[in-house]
Amino acid sequence: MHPQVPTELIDAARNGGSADVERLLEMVWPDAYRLARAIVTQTQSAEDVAQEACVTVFRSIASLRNSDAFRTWFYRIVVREALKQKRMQTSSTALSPDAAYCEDRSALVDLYRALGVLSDRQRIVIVLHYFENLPSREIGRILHVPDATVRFRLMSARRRLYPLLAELNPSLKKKGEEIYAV
Amino acid sequence: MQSDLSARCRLARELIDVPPFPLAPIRLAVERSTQAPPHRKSILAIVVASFSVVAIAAAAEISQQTHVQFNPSGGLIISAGPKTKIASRPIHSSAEIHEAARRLDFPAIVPQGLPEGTKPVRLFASGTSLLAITYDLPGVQRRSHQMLWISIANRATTAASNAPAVLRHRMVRGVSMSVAHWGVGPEDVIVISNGLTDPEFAAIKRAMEQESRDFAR
Repeated sequence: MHPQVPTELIDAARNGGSADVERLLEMVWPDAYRLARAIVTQTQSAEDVAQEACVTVFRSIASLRNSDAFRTWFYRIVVREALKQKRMQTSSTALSPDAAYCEDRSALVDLYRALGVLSDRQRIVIVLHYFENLPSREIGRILHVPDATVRFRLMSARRRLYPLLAELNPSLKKKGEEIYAV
Repeated sequence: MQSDLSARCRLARELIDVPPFPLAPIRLAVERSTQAPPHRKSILAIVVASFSVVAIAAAAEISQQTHVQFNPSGGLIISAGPKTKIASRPIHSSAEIHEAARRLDFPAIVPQGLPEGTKPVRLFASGTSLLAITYDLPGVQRRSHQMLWISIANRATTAASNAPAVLRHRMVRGVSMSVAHWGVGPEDVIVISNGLTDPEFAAIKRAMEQESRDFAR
């Protein structure tokens, strides 16, 4: 989490202080939004996802048994809300980033286009690992899957991504032999 | 290549513009979700996520009418008089919807253009001016997001803005929903769903508007 949330604040929020919960949520809001944005790709949907996740945290934080588990628990809630939101999106609009966001950021457009062809499972592990810098073990705890499953999904996602990124950016094609390196 | 992907993703994350923290909407949503569930008599089959649906017993002058209004914070309020006949029952076919629509005090356009395989499951009638149908949407991809709730109401009643004072029943849930509201001929249509896609909303609106034009000829 960027930056690390103080354990004292999480403890206070768990003990029922509404003001503490609000301070905590304000601190983690950027992380919630960025994660949501990377999964659902549309600004309005990401805002809805992040907001719903914050409401869930607000309502349920008293039930969190251990403050050290906050980050895992929080990411799990955001991912769940993002998947709910994605199911409501049509296939024609689901994976296109906002045009305004992608102005003059062609490399990012390529990245989002490439991410768009991944399955939800692959996309989520890529986002959690490369956007949020989480290790595979923690991703496994977030998604309730074994570490090996996360690593397999990362590997298969990369295998799909590299040729796509190379195709979208021809300057990468000369590294073709490296594309399938895992 | 991995390092290139890492770098791109890090850059993408840094370039995401984060909007301001929406404290007020979060507080409101938390407040709504902690409100006590209603005392349900025989009615209350309609679950409207993230909206407060409040049927309030009215003063005598609107004793037989039902009023629908949208409150400023995004909720939906249905107000019904104490003598208003309210009925709610399971249904299994569109024929039952047509039958109920015939008893309304306006020439109703029943919901149409629904996704293939959509099943009506419950009917709620408030007096003679509002009918609301709960549907189950098809498709396993919707999983738990299969609810569709369509209300058709006399336009004159949806224009009313005075909410009477006595609470009759209320239903609240805290999950986000999509809502569409438009006028078709003599009626107001409100569509609320947690699983309907934008094209499906648009198809329902088109079909009902076409029916209204055909009806007017």
